[in-house]
Amino acid sequence: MIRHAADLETVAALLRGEHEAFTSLVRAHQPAFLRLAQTWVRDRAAAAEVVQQAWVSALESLATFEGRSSLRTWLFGIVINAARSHVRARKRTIPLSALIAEEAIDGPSVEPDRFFQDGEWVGHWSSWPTPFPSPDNALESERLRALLEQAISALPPLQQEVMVLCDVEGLSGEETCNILGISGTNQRVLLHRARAKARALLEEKLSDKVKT
Amino acid sequence: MSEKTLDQCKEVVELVNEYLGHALTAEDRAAFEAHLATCPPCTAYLAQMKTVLNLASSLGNAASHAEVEPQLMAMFQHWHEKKSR
Repeated sequence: MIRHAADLETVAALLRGEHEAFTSLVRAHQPAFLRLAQTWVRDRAAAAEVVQQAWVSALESLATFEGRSSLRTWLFGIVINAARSHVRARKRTIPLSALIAEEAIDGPSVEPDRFFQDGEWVGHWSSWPTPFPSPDNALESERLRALLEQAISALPPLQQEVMVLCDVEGLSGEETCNILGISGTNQRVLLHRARAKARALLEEKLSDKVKT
Repeated sequence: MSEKTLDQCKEVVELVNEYLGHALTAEDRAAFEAHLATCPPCTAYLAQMKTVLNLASSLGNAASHAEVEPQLMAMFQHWHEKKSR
């Protein structure tokens, strides 16, 4: 078992009450925590409250952290639980199995009407993808990032969580499955669907900008 | 034995994730790349997906440099005092 030595040191510093250790931890993870909380709690102020509650829960159970996973993975799990509990408390809960049934379904990555339906070129593009602008300067890169943020936040919650954990935060498929309590097959389908939708939404938003 | 071919673009786009994740078999990878070599729109689709993934990972690098909110620091202080009692 890999122990996360640096994380265990951080935990020891937190248990000693070192403010610098807490400040560094918050600075490193607060943006990701807010993004994860907002997959369930759209309102930013409410999501910030959920994150604060997650920090409280994390500190309360800090002594149980054993370094089996990275501290970041452990904390992500706490944030997601806090966000789901927040939703559950407001009786708007949908069982995880129902969400999986709804979101982890196979379907085409690209709308079928983008391809020729018959004739010599059946299955080939009839409406070609428009190349995205290259994020080669800071302004363009910032604009594209903002559009992608919007596209990701428009995804259904589980797809959004999987894409945030895998593609934004760089977690492995296995870590993502452990945090979300889903199977590897469902994780792969959810990620596939999420990326395909995010690409399509980004393409749509960029073509809207061209038209206007 | 004839080599595998991927003729239709709508089949190719379904393999993009596995291609980017190095999860295709050698045979599928060769067929995918052979299709791409002659298909500008599928090449554009792959480039779009690469842009999405690059942008997504850059979102995760945005660590906050802002001051930590005072109520969060107060909460930490309170937690430590309570624990030390």
